[in-house]
Amino acid sequence: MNNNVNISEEELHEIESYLRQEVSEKKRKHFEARLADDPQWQQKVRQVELMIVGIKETAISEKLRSLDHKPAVRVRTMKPKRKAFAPYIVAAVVIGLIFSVLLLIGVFKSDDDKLFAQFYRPDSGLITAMSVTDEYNFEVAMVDYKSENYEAAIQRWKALADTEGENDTLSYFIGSAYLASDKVPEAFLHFKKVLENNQSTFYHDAQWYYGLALIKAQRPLEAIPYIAGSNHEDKEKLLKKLRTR
Amino acid sequence: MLYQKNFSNVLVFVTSNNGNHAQAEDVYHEAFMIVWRKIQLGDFKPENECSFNGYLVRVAQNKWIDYLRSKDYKMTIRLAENYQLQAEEPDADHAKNEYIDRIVKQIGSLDKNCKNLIRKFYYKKQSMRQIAEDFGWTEATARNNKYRCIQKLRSLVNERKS
Repeated sequence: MNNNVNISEEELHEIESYLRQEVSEKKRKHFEARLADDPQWQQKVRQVELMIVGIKETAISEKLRSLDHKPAVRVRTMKPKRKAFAPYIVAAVVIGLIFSVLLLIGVFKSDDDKLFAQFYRPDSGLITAMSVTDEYNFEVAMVDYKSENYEAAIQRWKALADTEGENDTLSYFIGSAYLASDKVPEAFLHFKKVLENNQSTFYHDAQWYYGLALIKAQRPLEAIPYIAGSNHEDKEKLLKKLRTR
Repeated sequence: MLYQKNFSNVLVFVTSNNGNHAQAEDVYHEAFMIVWRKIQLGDFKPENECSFNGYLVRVAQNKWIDYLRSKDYKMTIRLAENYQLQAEEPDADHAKNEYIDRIVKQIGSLDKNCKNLIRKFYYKKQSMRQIAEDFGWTEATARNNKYRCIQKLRSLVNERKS
């Protein structure tokens, strides 16, 4: 394998976009045609693929290693009298952590889970959205949301909804935060409120996320009309996958 | 529990064959990463949890046997009677594994920002917009920096090879 092959920034971007499935159908076909005919292109793509495997492997390995040893030290130093049982406790902790990583990397995900993971990206949030009076609390929650501290964001937004009333903005972002934290039934409830008003700014986005929540809930067929009603750039790609299953 | 059983199998095998708990953990970790890579490269497609578990335990056992046979371990040992030695599966493509090994090794030589950036993009699958926000850069700067980091990584990998 020739590792010295030059890969320009544009080429790297093109290869990554293809591997992340972020290209249009037309570009995908063009990419694959080139891949079939151009040995040098094959080499470049293969090299980027292998590099990505190496990067991901390093991250997962470090994560496992960092989780492996800390509990072991704690168990042994805090409870010396139970040293004979420590290996079994440590084994249970290590296995539990490895199990979490397995779930994280999706080895055992169902087809619906994989489809959800492929298309779901949390809504990136807003900078400001509400009146001056409520702006501070809303924005603090938005910072929590953007920092992936979804539970804190939900608490703040729900408190705001309790005092000021739940509007479509709050419903949408509470639903988004619930979905991002895998609480699908709660996400349904709040997205549904947005969907009751087809004039809402968030109506189409709520369709997209409501559809994704249905996929997450292993109800892919029911997701089709919602995905179709959204205006998300990936909607045709997702619909195609849903319809060909 | 299914996963406990996996590690238990490896733990029993290693400790029954002159190893200790820490060595069982190490060999289990190493086996896990081998299986993970095989799945990523499409060299192993587990049909279900059972096939994954069986393969993982088998790889771990083979890793431990390799260690016992290595120069690092010169004691004469007797393997558990009911275990049949299995040959390690030959690598379908040695070159690609070697290349990934070098990538893994050289990532540690990158500066902290580079490591962080490529991890966010390739492992956490964050968008360039998100990454740019996190670092306080423009999206174009984030993209340029990512390319610079990748070029640096590739040159380190190639330097060490030549």
